[in-house]
Amino acid sequence: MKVTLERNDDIKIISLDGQLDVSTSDNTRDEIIALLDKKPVIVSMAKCTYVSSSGLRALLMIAKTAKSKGTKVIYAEPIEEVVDVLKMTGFIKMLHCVGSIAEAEREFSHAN
Amino acid sequence: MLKNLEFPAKREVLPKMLATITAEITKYTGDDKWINRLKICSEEILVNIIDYSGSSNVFISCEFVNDALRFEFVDEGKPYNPLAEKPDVDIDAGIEERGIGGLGIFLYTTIMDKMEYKFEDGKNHLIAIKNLSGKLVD
Repeated sequence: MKVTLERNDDIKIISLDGQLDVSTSDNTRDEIIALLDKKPVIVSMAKCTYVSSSGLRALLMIAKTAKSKGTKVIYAEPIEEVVDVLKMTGFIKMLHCVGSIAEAEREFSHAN
Repeated sequence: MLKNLEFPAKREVLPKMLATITAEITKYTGDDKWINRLKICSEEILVNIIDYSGSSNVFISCEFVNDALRFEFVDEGKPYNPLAEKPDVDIDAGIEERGIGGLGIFLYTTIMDKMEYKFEDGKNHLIAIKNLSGKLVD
């Protein structure tokens, strides 16, 4: 899994490229958590092709950390198969997912 | 059909196991959602065997019977029935309340139509069946 900080100004955009599975989830979780501060974060999910239970645990730990730091996180453009798993496990209610990065940016600009 | 295909029960072999299983699944269905769901179930079951069973090897079978895929995962580790305990997963819990445990078994018991465990000939057998009617390739 490749984790890239694509943008870091008034907001951060972090893109994921690869699978969030048992071999990648712990590192991905640590890399994303290390990037969390007060700035709003958009996680670009378009190239995240797979999420298993270890990936869900990583996403939950990221959500818990973000909440405790007061960081707002929006997940942009998750693929259908990933949304399917998020729905099945109720994660779709915990994680804020939108259809595009532009939509996430609009939500953050309206919030300010 | 995969018949008792043997792999070393090691994390580094998991991608090969999953690629083999996924290639088999795609012979029967082209439905990406179901290919993904069945790959997830296989990962969850195999990770448990690799990490906790103590078995050196895992044996994988996958056959197509009556419009259904029947998976069988066999290991030679200590007897363990993963279906004995219902996972404690609250899908309505909020971020703070939500626990990290039980998600793997929750996923495969939710996705599969039928699961069965038996300890036979000194081996753990976990059988998972999913009917694919309406999702089959022509």
